[in-house]
Amino acid sequence: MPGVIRTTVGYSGGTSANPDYTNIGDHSEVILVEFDPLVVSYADLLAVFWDLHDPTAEPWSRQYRNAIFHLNESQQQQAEQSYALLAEHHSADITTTLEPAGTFYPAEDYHQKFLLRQSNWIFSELRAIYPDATDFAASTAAARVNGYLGCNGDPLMLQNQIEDFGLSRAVQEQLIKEVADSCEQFIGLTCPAPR
Amino acid sequence: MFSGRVKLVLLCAGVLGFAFIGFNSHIASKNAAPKIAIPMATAAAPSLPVIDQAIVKKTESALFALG
Repeated sequence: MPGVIRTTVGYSGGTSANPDYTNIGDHSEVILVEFDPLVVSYADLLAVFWDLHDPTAEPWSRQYRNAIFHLNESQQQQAEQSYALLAEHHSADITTTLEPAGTFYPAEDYHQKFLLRQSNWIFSELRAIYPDATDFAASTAAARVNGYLGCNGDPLMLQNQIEDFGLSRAVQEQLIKEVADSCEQFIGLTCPAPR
Repeated sequence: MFSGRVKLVLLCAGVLGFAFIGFNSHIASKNAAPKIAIPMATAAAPSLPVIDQAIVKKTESALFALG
């Protein structure tokens, strides 16, 4: 998504200190999105968040639930407004919760950019640029490639950006092939001619 | 040509002059840019992706659970 600088998955919303995947306590799995407010607004992110899930679905568990953790008063107001607007269009109760954000605990390295890690060829090339796991997790290129592999974004955006990800021509073609094979909106997509 | 006292003064002045020049060159070498050996591995590292070189003046964060 344009304007999203980086994403980090982790744990939050609970009370126990230093949760991890094997000892998550009362926390939930969350995603921290860092964005450029001059390009994308919090309201835009809220709209995408509501689109990505069924807000009336019963939560699977406390670990896997839907929630907005607002980080300041402005976010709280915007979240409440979007919630109220959504509630008007649903007869069933909204189960997605709005809560003040607590401490965010980043998840273990092997959870960061999970889809990208499943694609060995692409992962290896980006990891060669960022041998340090923290740098890799903070990379916008890694976040974008991970997003495309998750069937997000659109073909034109991918074609326009693909040369900015630091990938070789062969790996660019591999990325296009993988998304074209598995994502409906990318079917038939080909690698653009080099600039 | 010169008296013994004058020769002694000239000798002392010469010694002090050489000492001053030596001291100055020592200070100059200390102020010069340090020599840093750049490891070959660093020089050969792949360049950062263009998208990661973009300078974003200000960022904000948002936190969601999407189970």
